[in-house]
Amino acid sequence: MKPRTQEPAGGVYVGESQLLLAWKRLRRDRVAMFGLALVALLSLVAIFAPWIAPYDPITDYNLRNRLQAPSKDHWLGTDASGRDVFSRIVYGARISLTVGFASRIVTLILGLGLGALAGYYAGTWVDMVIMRLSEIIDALPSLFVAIAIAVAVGPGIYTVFFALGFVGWADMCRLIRGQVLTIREQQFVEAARAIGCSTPRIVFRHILPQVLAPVIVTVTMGVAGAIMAETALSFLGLGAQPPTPTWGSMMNYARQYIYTAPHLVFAPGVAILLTVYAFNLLGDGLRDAMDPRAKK
Amino acid sequence: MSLYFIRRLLLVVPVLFGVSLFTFILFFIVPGDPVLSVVGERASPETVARIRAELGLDKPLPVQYITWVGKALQGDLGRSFLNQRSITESIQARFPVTLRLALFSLSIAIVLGIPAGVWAAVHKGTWIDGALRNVSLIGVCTPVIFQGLALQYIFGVWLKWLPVSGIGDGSWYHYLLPAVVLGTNIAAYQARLSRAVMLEVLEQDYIRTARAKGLGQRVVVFKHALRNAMIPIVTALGGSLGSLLVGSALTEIIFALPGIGSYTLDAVFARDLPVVMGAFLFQAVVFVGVNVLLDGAYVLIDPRVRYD
Repeated sequence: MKPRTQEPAGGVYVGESQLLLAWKRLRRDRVAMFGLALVALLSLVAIFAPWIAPYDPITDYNLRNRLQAPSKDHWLGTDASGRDVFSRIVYGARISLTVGFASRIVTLILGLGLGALAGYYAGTWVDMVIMRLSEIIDALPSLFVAIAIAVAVGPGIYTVFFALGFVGWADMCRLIRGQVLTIREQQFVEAARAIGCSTPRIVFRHILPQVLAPVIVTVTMGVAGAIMAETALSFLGLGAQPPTPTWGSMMNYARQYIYTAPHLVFAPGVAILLTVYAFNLLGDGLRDAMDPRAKK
Repeated sequence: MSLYFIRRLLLVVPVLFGVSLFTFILFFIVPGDPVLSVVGERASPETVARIRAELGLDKPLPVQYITWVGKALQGDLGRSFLNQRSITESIQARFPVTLRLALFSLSIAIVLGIPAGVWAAVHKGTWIDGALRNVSLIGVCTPVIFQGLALQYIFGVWLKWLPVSGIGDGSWYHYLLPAVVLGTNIAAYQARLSRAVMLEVLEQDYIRTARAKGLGQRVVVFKHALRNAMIPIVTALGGSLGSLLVGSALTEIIFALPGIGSYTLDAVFARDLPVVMGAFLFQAVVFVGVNVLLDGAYVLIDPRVRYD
């Protein structure tokens, strides 16, 4: 390998070059790149849904045309109101991916903020309070908590962002706390404090960038988990409300037609499977690429 | 060691306290009056006031909460708003269903998952490893709802081999489909985890030593490697057991099983606060209890683990 531009002595720009190295490792991982391509494809489907879907997912219904098997006109058949299932799946991707990312942003804000606080003030009452709160959240099954929040706040897409974001913060918080605990003992933090940096500056500017690699992996895996959980919530009627198409609610309505129109169950099921699979492939690849101990 | 467990159990108390407080607060920020959901919107103001007093909802919130905690400590979780049934008795009646499903599922997961992981690790890089990795990843990515409905269709509707829902007379084959759904799901996680842990262990020096002194593959893999890989595997199994014992709400709903999961879920939807609080407390106790037992199990698996 021929040497690139001159690196500053001592690897000062560790944060950047580590990410670049990880990206190079990731590009050589064919399975992970397949996952990334699939994620990109699904994102494009979600963004350009109105151009891809042959019919309108809500207004193009025709009761004389209901519960049809897949055909040339309707690639995945029609549902109980005669709506095109393929179009509804395409639009459903919007909800799933939006929930996947938006709920992770909530988790990230809560987990990063509280985790950094607990780690930086480890051993004080701030740390104590945050860790006890995370234990309470952990003592309850997360799906039930998300459901209880969704019922308390009232169903809807924003509720799902918040409910799913909220149940994930404890794990994220502990991850960040552990990382911060090791990093804050290092000399560059002491140096930053010595030259008079404020506490928020030390935490956000010097410590958190070091935590980026495990956070990226956790968030990618978390998107997959959130998409799965969104399916559960909208299956129970707590997600985006009808007539908005979501994969979970489509499976819920399909239940009663399982004898006559099983394709109504299989179409959204396979869509979820594929999406979660894509994020998992990418997450696995990212973990290998970002692990500093990873072998070449 | 017993001192460790006593301290551990004492630490559980504030967590359970927090769980009940969290549930209580959550349900008092809910818009709408719980009494109206019991008597209906058209009840007269007198009826509403009478029911409110009967349910103890006319007292200040802190008093309501403390009364509830006092009774819960004596094992009385109160009565349902909706049908006045004793919550402790309902949980007693429904827990066996969840327990049977949990043990059945966990056995499937152990029998399929761990051997698959070990097998893949031993044959790392071969087609066996590739195939097992793909199958287990797909297993991890399959939503329980989809798997449940698909199995109902294949075995119940299409082949007509197995009952699709309910527990009927309670015989084992009513639990088979739901247990397969949950069991294969956990098995997929187990396989991925066991493979990763086994790969790490198989690279250790003492494995090379064991091979060098001429021990057979079987002894090296099962006696030397697997035994040392057991701690993370058992931790994950314990986590699965914990979440199975609190009731797998989705599976119980799809297969119409009267377990703890569907009990909790119905109560959450009906905003039946006493049931939700009781069920959440029960779930937290089970969850935390499994974790404490797990700490004990480590001592049996790994003689190096000691609690002082």
